[in-house]
Amino acid sequence: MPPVIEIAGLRKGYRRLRGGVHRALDGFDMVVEPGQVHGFLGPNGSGKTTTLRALLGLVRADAGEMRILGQPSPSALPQVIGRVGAIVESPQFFGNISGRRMLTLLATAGGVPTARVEEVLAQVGLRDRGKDIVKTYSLGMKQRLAVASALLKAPELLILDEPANGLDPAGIREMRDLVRLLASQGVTVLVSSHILAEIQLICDSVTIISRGRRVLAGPVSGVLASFDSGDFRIRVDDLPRAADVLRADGVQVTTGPDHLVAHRVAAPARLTELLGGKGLWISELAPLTPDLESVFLQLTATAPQPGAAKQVDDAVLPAGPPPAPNEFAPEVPR
Amino acid sequence: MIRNLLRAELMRLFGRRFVQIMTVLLLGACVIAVLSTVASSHTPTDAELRQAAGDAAAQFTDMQRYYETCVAAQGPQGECPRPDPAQYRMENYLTGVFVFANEITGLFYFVAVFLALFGFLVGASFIGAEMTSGGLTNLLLWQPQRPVVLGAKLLTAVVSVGALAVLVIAGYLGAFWGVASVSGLAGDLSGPFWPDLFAVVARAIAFVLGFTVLGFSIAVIGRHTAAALGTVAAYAVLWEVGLRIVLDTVDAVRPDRWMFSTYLVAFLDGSIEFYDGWSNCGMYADCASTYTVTWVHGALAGGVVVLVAAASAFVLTQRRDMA
Repeated sequence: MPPVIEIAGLRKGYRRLRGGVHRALDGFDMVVEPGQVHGFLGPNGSGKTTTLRALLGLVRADAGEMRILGQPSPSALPQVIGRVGAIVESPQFFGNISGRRMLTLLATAGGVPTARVEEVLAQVGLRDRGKDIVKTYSLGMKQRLAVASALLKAPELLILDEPANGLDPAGIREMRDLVRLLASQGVTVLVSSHILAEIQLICDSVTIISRGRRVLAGPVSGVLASFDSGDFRIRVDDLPRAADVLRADGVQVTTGPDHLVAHRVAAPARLTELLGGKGLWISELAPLTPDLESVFLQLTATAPQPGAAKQVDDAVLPAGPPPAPNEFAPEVPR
Repeated sequence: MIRNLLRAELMRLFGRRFVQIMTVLLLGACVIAVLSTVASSHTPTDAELRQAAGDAAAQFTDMQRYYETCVAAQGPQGECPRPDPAQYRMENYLTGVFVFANEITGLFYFVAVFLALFGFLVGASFIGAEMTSGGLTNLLLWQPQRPVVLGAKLLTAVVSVGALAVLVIAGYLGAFWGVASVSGLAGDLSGPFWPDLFAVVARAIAFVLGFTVLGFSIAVIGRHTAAALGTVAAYAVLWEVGLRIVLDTVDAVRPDRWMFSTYLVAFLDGSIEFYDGWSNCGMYADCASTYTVTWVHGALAGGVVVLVAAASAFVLTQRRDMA
């Protein structure tokens, strides 16, 4: 099956007030395969929302190609938009009408049976609050309403820009379960989020963008594996002696306050053999697998530094020229 | 799809608090106008009618005598105003009595201007609020063809305001006819009265619709309801006041023809006449010392402004990024 979303060489610049152009997108590529939950990550101002807006025909790209559900976007968007549900940033609704009426208006405009309104209200947990006017909703409830509006069309592709924005912990879990449920029903979901632990939990694949360019893409497991350096945390009673034993065998060791870190360990059993052989009994031997957050911070160079306030444009600019158009291959092998 | 969109827009328009409040204000203003007329009018007594008829006849006789004297002095070619019997009708000499034929046009201008303001504000806020709130972006995620979305909104606003205008005008005229029947007089309804009134009504409806399109279009161009209000305020201050002062200072030829308000008044009223200080007519010269702007000029000027604004709104919406 062809990819659900294909973006190649996407460029978009905004004129600055004092002259010059801010390149929001600088040859960005992305591929989302059908049936996947795809995470779209990037620091603030990296071009995520601009990408989604361009894909959905809300902003005009300067260059590049986009296809959505196999059709060129934005030219063929009217033909496929009925199969795409989307929320972009935090949509605002009129405050003086009820959530149910808001959805009814959208359903009427889109030719969706209004019975669907009750289904989606229940799906996002607003069934009993649907009659209340929107301005009485909390931020999280408005976000749920936005997700409900995206679900109205029973979409094949769901694009969610920061869906967890404003949600309480229970709401975040419900959103996670909802995304999983939709994915199990065959819906392709593209999620843009800053909650990386959530992305790691729910996504099959990710694309990371920084300063308008793709810095990494591929399956979450592949991404994490590619950053797995084979480090292990070791806890023993006698840290200095254990470090000496390991170094004597050629293992690179870093000493922590209450543990050791052994680097680039190919065979962890060798660590227990070495230390056990010297009467040093290991109380903990744990692989230090990278999480998505550490990968993200490393790739985008946005990790906070003590005593320094990181600026939004301090994110790393991927080296080299932007990729040529039509390169749909992800950077991380599957 | 388009029908669904129009249905949704109709629900959205009349679901808006602002539109509801403006409608109540509009109806309230009409009711106040009618009630104040009711309060200031009464059914004339036979004595009042006789007195008015006598006053009218006496006045006409005086004017006829003056005319004859004038003709005798100046000859048939002299500038002697011949009295028009229609001007000396009994109802013109009644006080505190509402006479439909005499007063309805003036009263109608009030509601026409109010409806134009209503259309301008409703048109501007209908799209302006959606552009500011992101509602339009939401809608474009359902129907990405921008001209279709904008056209549906404009059509909804124009048709709704037009329908409301027709209902309000019918109710307004009907109410005053009722006042005249109950506690006033109908007056002279012969001759061109009804055709003239219907022509004013037709132009007033076009006037209201033009303002609706104008408010809508300026709000689209400025992406905000306030843009429409600001544009009108800026135009009024800079052009209608500022430029008028400049033109007066430099003794410009026919300064009123540069004012949009001239064309609006001409369109609504049928025509407007201005003194032409540069006509080189002597005081008694046989040439026009005035010039006239007719409703046709008004229609052309207003039509061009409305069309340019609407076309700009559609072109800009198609080209630019949506917030």
